[in-house]
Amino acid sequence: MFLKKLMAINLSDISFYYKKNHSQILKIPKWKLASKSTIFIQGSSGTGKTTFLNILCGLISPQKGKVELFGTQINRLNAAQRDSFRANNIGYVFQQFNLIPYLSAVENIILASHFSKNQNNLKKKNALDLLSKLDVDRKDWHLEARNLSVGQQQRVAIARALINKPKLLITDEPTSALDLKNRENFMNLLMDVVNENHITLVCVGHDPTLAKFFNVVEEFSNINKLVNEK
Amino acid sequence: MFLKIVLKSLQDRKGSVLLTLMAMTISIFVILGVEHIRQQTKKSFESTLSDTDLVIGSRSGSLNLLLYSVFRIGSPTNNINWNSFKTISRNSKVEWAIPLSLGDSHKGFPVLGTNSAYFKHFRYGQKKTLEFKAGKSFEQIFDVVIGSEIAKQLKYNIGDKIILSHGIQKQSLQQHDEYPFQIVGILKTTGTPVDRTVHIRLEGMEIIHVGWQNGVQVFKNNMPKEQFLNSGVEPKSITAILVGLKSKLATFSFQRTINNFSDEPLLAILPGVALSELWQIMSLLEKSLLLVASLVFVSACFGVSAVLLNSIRERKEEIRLLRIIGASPPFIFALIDSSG
Repeated sequence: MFLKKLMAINLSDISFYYKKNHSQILKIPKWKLASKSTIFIQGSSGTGKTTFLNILCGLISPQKGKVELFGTQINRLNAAQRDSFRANNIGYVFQQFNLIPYLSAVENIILASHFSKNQNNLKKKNALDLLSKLDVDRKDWHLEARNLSVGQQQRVAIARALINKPKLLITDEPTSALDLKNRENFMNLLMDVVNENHITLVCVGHDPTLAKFFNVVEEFSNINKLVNEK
Repeated sequence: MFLKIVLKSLQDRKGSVLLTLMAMTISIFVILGVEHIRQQTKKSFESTLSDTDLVIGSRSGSLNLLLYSVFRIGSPTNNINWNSFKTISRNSKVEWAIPLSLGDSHKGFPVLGTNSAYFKHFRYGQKKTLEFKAGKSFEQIFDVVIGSEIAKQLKYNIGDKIILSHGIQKQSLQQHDEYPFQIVGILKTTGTPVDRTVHIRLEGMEIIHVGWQNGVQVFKNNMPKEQFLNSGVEPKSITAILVGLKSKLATFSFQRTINNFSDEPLLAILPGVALSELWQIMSLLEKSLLLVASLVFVSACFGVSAVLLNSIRERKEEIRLLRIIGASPPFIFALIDSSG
């Protein structure tokens, strides 16, 4: 019981394949991640990383196996419960398209908190606090997201991912749209807020230079046993 | 929050939203328009003639008789002898009879020769009588009463003099210019062919045709018109008779009497029956109109679906994002649905 609580992610016997052509994408016999750790999962494209992340955040369910996050088996939940679990516990930062282009930075962040249970009157204040903490220029707060630079957009994306105080933050190649300088800045900022808020961070990507920021680095082929079989 | 996103999203795609809206509006407008026109046409069609039990004309087709005598459409039927009119109007079953004489025109509007019974007994719509907007019924031989549309289109007023043309063509070369008529009355709008009719007395009709044979002017009639005024001219023939019977029960037996009329071949039709027959012919047109309208609607629906599909494709990232931050599929469906 005690061990389980420490585990942020606990996967066992996962297998996922597309119904259309029955081609199997994932086969994960066993994989665990301790709470509050930061992990960089390295792997080349087309190996099922995105599918893996979609399963982690409950967007899709594996045909077989058990997906447990912080002690909750999310593939047992119904769709609505999964949606609200995701809104309350998981933050997500993609490579790009993190923000709804016609809403402002602030509105994007408030929208994310709209779906979580932390409904309070401080929504806007929290959003503004996060934005200033993440060094987003004050003049950019109310601009439509599409008018922000990519670097700014990614920072707003972190703010959006953190507004609900998630326990788990998933990032999918978050820096690949950034230049070198912005990449360093972004990663430092990300690690700061993650450590400060005691968040478990899962980051997938193929850029090995990111590895130095994380306390665990793992090859995706070690998780998805199918990669080696292929 | 939901409304805010919907509004922002709509604002973001003003152009396509506006186009979609227009396509939908136009197609719905076309459907409603066609339906409206159909009902209005049917209504005005059915209200052309009311309270008339029989329409009598010389023996031709019932539709031809109806079209010509009531709608002033189509070619003239043969004439009926004036004596037949006298016989029929004196029949004990007949309450009233209106003689109709057609064949002339004024600037494309048909001229109807009739008598004062017309203004007394003619009914349209829900048994409505003809009413005067200005002036009064004709009294003198060369008096004329015009329908409201003629007065409006040709800007005629009481006291204006008009000249009738021979024949029903719009550009008739032969004018009855020896005898100008004077407008003494303008009828109120009825929404029936009456609005487009020039009403004169039968006697007037007769006099302007003195010297005409088989539609050709043989000699010029130079008699001064004062001479006619009290000479008791009697028409020789008319085109059709509208008949009202004392008892509706007698309609069929009287119709049979007329159809077996011994003096000349006559045809009596029930206007209601002939009208519905005519409407059935029109229903083909009506159906094709409705078909076109529905096709327009269907194509607009396809257009809207295409736009929706496109917008979903365009907004794939947005949808994925909303799913990630915990929006439920119903929320996204509602969003896409309401913001197109």
